[in-house]
Amino acid sequence: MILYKRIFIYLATILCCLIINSALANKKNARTNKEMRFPVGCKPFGYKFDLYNVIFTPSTKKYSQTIYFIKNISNKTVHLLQASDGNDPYILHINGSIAPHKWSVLSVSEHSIKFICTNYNKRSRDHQVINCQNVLRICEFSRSRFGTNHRGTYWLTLSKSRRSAVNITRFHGVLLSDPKQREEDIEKNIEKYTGEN
Amino acid sequence: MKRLLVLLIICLIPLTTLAAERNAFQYYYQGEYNQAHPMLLALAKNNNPQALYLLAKMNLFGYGMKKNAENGFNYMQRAANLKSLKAQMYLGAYYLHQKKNIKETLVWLRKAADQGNANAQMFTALCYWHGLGTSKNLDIAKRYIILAAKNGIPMAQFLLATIFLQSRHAIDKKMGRIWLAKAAQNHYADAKQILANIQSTGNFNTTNLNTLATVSLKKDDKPWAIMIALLKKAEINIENPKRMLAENDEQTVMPTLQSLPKNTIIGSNFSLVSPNDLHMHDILVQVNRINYQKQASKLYINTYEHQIPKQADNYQEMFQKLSRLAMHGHTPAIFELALLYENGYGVAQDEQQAFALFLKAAKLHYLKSEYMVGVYCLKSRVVNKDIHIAMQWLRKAALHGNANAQLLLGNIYEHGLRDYNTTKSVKKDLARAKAMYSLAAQNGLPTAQYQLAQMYASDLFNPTNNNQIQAKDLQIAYRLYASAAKAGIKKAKLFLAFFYAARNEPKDKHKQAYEIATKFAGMRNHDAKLLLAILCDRGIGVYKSHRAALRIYRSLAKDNNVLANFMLGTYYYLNNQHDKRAEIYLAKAAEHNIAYAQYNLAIIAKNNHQLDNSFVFLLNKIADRGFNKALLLLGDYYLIDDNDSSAMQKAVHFYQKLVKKQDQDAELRLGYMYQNGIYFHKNMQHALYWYQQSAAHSNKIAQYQLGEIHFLGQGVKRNINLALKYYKQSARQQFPPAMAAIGYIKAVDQFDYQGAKKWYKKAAKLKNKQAQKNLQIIKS
Repeated sequence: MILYKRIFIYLATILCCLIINSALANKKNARTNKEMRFPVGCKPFGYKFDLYNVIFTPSTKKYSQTIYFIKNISNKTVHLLQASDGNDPYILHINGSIAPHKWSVLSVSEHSIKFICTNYNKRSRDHQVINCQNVLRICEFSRSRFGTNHRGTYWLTLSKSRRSAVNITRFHGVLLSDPKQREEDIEKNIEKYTGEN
Repeated sequence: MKRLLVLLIICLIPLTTLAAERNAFQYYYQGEYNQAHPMLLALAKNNNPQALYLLAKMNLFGYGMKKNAENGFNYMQRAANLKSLKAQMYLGAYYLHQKKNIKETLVWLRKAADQGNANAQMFTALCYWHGLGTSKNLDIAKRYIILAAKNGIPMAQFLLATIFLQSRHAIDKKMGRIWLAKAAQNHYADAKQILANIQSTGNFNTTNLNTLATVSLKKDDKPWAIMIALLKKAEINIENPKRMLAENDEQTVMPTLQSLPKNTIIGSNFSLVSPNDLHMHDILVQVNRINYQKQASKLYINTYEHQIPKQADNYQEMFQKLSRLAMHGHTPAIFELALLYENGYGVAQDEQQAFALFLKAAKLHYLKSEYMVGVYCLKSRVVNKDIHIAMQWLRKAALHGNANAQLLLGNIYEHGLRDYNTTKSVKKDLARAKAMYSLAAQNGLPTAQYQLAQMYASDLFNPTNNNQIQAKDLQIAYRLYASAAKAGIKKAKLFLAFFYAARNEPKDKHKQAYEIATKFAGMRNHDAKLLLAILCDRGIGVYKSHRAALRIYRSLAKDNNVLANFMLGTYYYLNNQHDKRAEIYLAKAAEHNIAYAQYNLAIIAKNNHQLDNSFVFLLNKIADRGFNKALLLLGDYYLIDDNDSSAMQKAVHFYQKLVKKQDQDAELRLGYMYQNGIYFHKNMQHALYWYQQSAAHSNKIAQYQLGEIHFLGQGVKRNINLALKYYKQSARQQFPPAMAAIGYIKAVDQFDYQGAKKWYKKAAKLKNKQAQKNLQIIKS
């Protein structure tokens, strides 16, 4: 009888451990999944991966400036080096780097801007070109509004968590989605919603 | 202990009944009615609604037994009372069309409506709305109208819109407009008319709304006629079950659905690879690989040309202007001035001065100058040759976007570089070469595009021979060849012609391929001649002529063309097995590592009744190099004897190697082994997984197997829609058994005889015997 009791206690302990472990794992997974998602309203448009490069081409003509959220999904720091054709000598190279699994925010006011992705090799002390498509996840707030003193193409923040990247952008004074446009969208959504009911 | 046993037995009872249920239904849907009948009777005793419905169908149709309408009807009523939706729909349709009794129809269809059938919901709504077969009750009518409208019935949406529009409240009116728009979107004529009125007049008149929701009728029309007219207007089809009740008590000859035989699924094929069996892409890869190996390493060093601007009359004037600008630190002027010094335009040639100026501009981050400094260091012009410094400048220029630097770096990494005086070197690094060429190609440099296309097309980046990677790489190669050809690289055009010559390309592309091949063949290009021979052999873009093809192959073989040797050797053997020339030509091709030639030699060894060892040895040799066809044949060879477990283990070993490369045939074989318990324990989940993988890689047999599994509910819940989806995928690849299976489902499960005929005809055209037989049964 005592033996049965011991076996029962032993099995119950294992079961409890398994339940707690799976609950913790689920929580961790949920956290990482949340971190993987794009910020609300950010859509995967306005860019293309061509061979090894990434080319940002803002998808809307209505807004002169858009904002991109870029995530490094690899385990190494990715450096984004702006590539120009070399004809203009006075170009300012807007280079940025993103730590593993972090987000960076790029503000773009040009029709097209091209970047090369690299990993820095400490041994050979040079940049090794990698395929941007394999390491980046990108989305665009195509209806963002900027103050007049915030115009231009620049890195708004580098290597932050998703939430801090969004907060910093807002703190900077950028409206991620134009309120006017948002009202129109809400109106459309209400119609859609009532239509479905 | 006793209690535990009782508990265990109680737990097991539902499991055993579930298994019995599954078996009974599988037998029924496989068309084995004699085996299904007693099982279904046993289930019917326990009031299983689906079994009752199937028994009713067997009695009414005469499936596997004599027709017995009375029994069939009784079973049907029992099934309908036990909430079988199909039975309720059947009875509703029977009372509507055969008995013309709306009251009784309403009883059954209201039950079906409560189970969510949209047509039944609309019927019930119409009954209560117009008081047909029951007393008028607008509240109940509204409830069913809402349900039907949500299920997308346009008339219900329109009726709902009229209800909302007649309200006084603004919100209701808005909802009314939304539903009206939905009905109009679904092509409901009255809704379109009202919407058009609103748009043209800007007003909305609610007075004549009620008249629109009805149909024009004569005074003496009976409720049944009114209902039929209303259903017609609502475009609702409640099928007449007359066909099921034909007064013929003979046993019905039933269409059948047969499973694929084992040989069709995992049959081994010990025949030679005929030249015409080779996919054009495989030939392109082989041609590119041979060309790439022959290619000599040379550095692509592009230079910049200096052009006199329009406003300058001569170089001297230009030189003075540029000197003035350079003095003020204008970097483009410094670069241009360096070019003048380098070429001796308007000033005495002075490379030392040129280099100094290039270096000055490079330090000011002028891209072209960074590249030129790199080139000077590499070529040991003026300055001492230093590969490492050259590489630093070139890397800097390349990462800033200079296309020439990217091309040159790609070139250096592709072949490696060594300075024998200083022993400094740059190691060969294909990954870096690919990256640099990609950047240069993206910048629109035709040489880089062509070079990169060649690397992709020769499978250089796919060392494991993965099928999916190869397909993707060839897609990229095609795109690169196209842009290089557009930019004027002639050879790129020839390789594009190989893509155009694929069988699935349209006819105009085939003609284009032939034109390009003849044009280049005229220039004595061997690859073009080979393409021309293949086109003649297959009749692509030109009239088919095997003789002409052989003539070209022979002339190419004289010049030791490796692929022509393979083609010629194989043809000699296929035409006459004793022709000694066959093995000579194939051996020549095999010497140059043409895997297909080695494969054919292995098959010839087996056909010549040589020891099995030599066949296996030859195949193993190419299998080790990752040749997928050899791995598959070896697997099939060991699978023949399914009693020998060590042989089976070897077969599985080869299949597992292949599935890592996403090979659809190996995935199919693993699926079949799991499904039938060959070598592995029977496991439907694993079988499904491998079938799904294979089907995703476009294997038509795996798609068929998946269709059958879902249709019969083998290890999964029966799902006809999913079964049809897989069968259709397979049928799209011109697989006749899949077409016959779709016809079978249409006829037996959905009573869609027109649809069944259409599919049977398609399969019968492709000489499928089962479809031909089933088609005759339907016609009779």
